[in-house]
Amino acid sequence: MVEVDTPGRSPASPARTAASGARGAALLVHSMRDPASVSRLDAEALDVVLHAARRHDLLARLEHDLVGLGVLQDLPEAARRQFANARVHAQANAVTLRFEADRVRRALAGLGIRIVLLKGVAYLWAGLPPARGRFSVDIDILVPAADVGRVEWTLVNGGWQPAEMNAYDQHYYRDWMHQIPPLTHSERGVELDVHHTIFPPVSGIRIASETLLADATPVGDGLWVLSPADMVLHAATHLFQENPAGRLRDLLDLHDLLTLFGQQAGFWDSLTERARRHGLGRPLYYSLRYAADLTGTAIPAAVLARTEAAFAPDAVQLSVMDWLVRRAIVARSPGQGGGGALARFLLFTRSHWIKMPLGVLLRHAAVKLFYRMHERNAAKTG
Amino acid sequence: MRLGSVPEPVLRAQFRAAGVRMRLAGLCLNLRTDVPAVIGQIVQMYEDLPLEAGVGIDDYRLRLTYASPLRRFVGRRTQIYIEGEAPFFPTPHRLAYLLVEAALNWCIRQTVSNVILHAATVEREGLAVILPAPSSSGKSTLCAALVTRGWRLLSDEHAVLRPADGRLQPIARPISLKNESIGLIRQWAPDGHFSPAFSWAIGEDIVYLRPPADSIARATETARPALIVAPAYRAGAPVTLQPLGKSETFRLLVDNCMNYHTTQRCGFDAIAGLVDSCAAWRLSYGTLEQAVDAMEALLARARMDPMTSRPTITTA
Repeated sequence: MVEVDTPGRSPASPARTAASGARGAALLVHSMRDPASVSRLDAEALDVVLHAARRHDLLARLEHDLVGLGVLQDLPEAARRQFANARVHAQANAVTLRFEADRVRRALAGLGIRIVLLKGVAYLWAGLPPARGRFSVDIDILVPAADVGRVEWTLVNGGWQPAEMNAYDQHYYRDWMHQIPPLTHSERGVELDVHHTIFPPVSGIRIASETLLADATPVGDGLWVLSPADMVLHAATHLFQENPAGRLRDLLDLHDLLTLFGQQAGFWDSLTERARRHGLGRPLYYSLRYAADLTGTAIPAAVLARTEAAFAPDAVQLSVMDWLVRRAIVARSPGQGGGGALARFLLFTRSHWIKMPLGVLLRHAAVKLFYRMHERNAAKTG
Repeated sequence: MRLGSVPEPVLRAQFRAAGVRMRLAGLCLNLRTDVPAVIGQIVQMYEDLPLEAGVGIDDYRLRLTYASPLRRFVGRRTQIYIEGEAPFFPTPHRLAYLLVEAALNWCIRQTVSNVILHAATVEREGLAVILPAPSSSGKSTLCAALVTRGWRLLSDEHAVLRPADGRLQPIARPISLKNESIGLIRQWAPDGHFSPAFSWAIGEDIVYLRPPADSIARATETARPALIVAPAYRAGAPVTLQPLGKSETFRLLVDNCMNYHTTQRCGFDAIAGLVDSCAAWRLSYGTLEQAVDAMEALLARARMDPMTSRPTITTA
């Protein structure tokens, strides 16, 4: 099984920053799993955790947990100062997200359709544990595929503007992706992503919006969130069908959701059943495996065994994936050594491989290259 | 320990290895760099700056280095990383010092547990004056003129307001002078310690003026805001002082608040507190002598009777 380097190695002072990458990653994972342990760290180790947490946008979450445990006031003033700062940023972000979601709700209220909030704004609106100290920049919503045109038209009339993009990018979004081109509010500048499903249909995985919408849970004010199983699968897809490099925060989202929903009767059965139905068994398997191993999520042994039997890749592929995820998920910035850069590149390539069939992928890469060269030439001459 | 009191070879080694931990604006900022030329400029400008010893908790880690291994030798360009991210464009080697200054500003502005106004702040006899104004309105020039005539420098760029007690946190960094103000202040304060000129575009120069040693020595001493003065320089114009009403003052401060949206209720309360506790004026001036005299008159008035120093006129 996967393991993380045990924290506690004390690097020599001159090489401190070079070594703090790998050590910081290990200490950070340990601190997020067991926030109480933070109050026992010496100043140097605490410094490493604070900077690693900041790079992963996890300072405010850690602050929330430390306040909950009643140990924040035991930390040195310099640490409390950083936590206080992160708290202000996170609180302001939460106010913005709530406000923006409410604007979207008001704009679309007349259409009589279900507006399902996704990801960060959904956790916030539904009061779910991953929302604590979580920082999001976009609003993500899911609407019925049949109503996407009406929704877009209403939003554009209500002050949201489509990004300027060329015909190819339009085609990329409209024909292949699970969302329309992103909209940005013309005055407030917040990005709104309108989805009609949770994974790009071009991949061959077609998840009808009706199935997602039918099981959604109301959260008041005419807004909805995905059912527990679909919410976990969406987070799983987001993390493991895309590039998981540097996304410890998203793994912790999964940890929180699995821990909370795992206590509900019938959750695990419905989770594996929905994964089978949506064709998302593989990302579910990875989610359960790495959540159990890296964040210590309590997952029933029978569920792990069942998903392994049904959805795991072959042993070679799995050991490669273990190697990649273990190196990349906690690495954030370049220069952290240990094969991190290679792992990140391979995971990036993999995410495109999963998203698009080979023919489409090659064409996409060629077109992107063409446009990039074209833009560079245009910049030079114009 | 002061930065200037560390032997230079030791300091250079520290800049290269674990970084030099500077105490600024109530923060501990760790700066590492392998760009030799910039170290001399930092020493020159930050000689009196207090350092933190050994290792401990840094608020921000900054690293100034070459934009790529090639850029160390050919077409030399430098880049500054704050917590591993590069918020600015790479800059020619000779302008690397500007990146350091920009990064320090960035760190101060990110600290949202304080309410931060775009303003110069100075203090005298325990009373602080906030001079809110957008960039290139001459506030740094006026600030430089005041601190070379006995006022204490809090900051030429930021009013750092602590919401807990409504007091201003000093920063005491070099004052940045641009274009015409460079010659003006060189004439005004011939004994000042000036940095070399950094020309970042044709006809666009920046020179830094080192703050008075006393301002740096007292950089942990917070100050009570007593006056708000919105400066407006117009060459040759007569000096005028116009009282500002409360709502106008509130609007002025909010417009110049750099983190009003992030600080939310706390920012509103802090600014409302300022409006209630300070007298506010608009000062137009054509020469630095006029402005400094006017500031001294306002200070005298505020010191004699803080309550009557508040303007009673509410119309502009």
